[in-house]
Amino acid sequence: MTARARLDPDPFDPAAELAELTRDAAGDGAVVSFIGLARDATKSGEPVKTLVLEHHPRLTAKSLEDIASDALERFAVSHVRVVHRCGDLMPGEPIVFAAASSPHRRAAFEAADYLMDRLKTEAVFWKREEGPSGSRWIEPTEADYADRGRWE
Amino acid sequence: MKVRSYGKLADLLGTERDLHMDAPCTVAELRDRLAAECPQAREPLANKRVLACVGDTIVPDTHIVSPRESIEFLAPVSGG
Repeated sequence: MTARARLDPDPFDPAAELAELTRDAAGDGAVVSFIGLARDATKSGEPVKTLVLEHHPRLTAKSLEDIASDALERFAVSHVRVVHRCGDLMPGEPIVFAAASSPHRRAAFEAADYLMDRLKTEAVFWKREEGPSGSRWIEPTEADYADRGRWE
Repeated sequence: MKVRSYGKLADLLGTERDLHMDAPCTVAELRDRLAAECPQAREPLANKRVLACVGDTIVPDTHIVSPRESIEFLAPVSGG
């Protein structure tokens, strides 16, 4: 059983992460993964040039590790993997990879869902969209907090 | 004491600022002191989702901070 979490300042390859997790999952019956991508437009449709993910020097990596470990403990999963970017991202670049493997599919689906609900509201990042009309901080919505609340 | 701010709060309070304190006070009192110095930060500082951190620990508003310590205020966090 492993819970791996990595804060990555450079672009990463979700396919390579999935391949590695699938290798780790030998003997399991299911792998479920989620990839979050940087959008090319704001909610109001304005173009986004850069998505900036600021992080905390001590708390960010620990928040990723805690969330991954909690998923491993909570669900009947064998392996959990989280990779999260920081720094400046171009539209289309992967922001996050969150995945789990398990003997039976339901636990892996639930673990991936849980990982993302917690990452959206508890991973220690501050997101800013920058475009031609300036920059705008992105904070979790009430729907994000409600999604997180489903697991309490 | 040193006050560091992150995210939207850093735009309002600056990344780092010195706050003169004569005696220990609570985190809630510090929020009020900062809001008095930077009225534009009053509303964000009153948001309970703005967390205070001393060392590596998230602390409640009742936590007492000494003038020799540093404190960090974290605007609402969001990954994914």
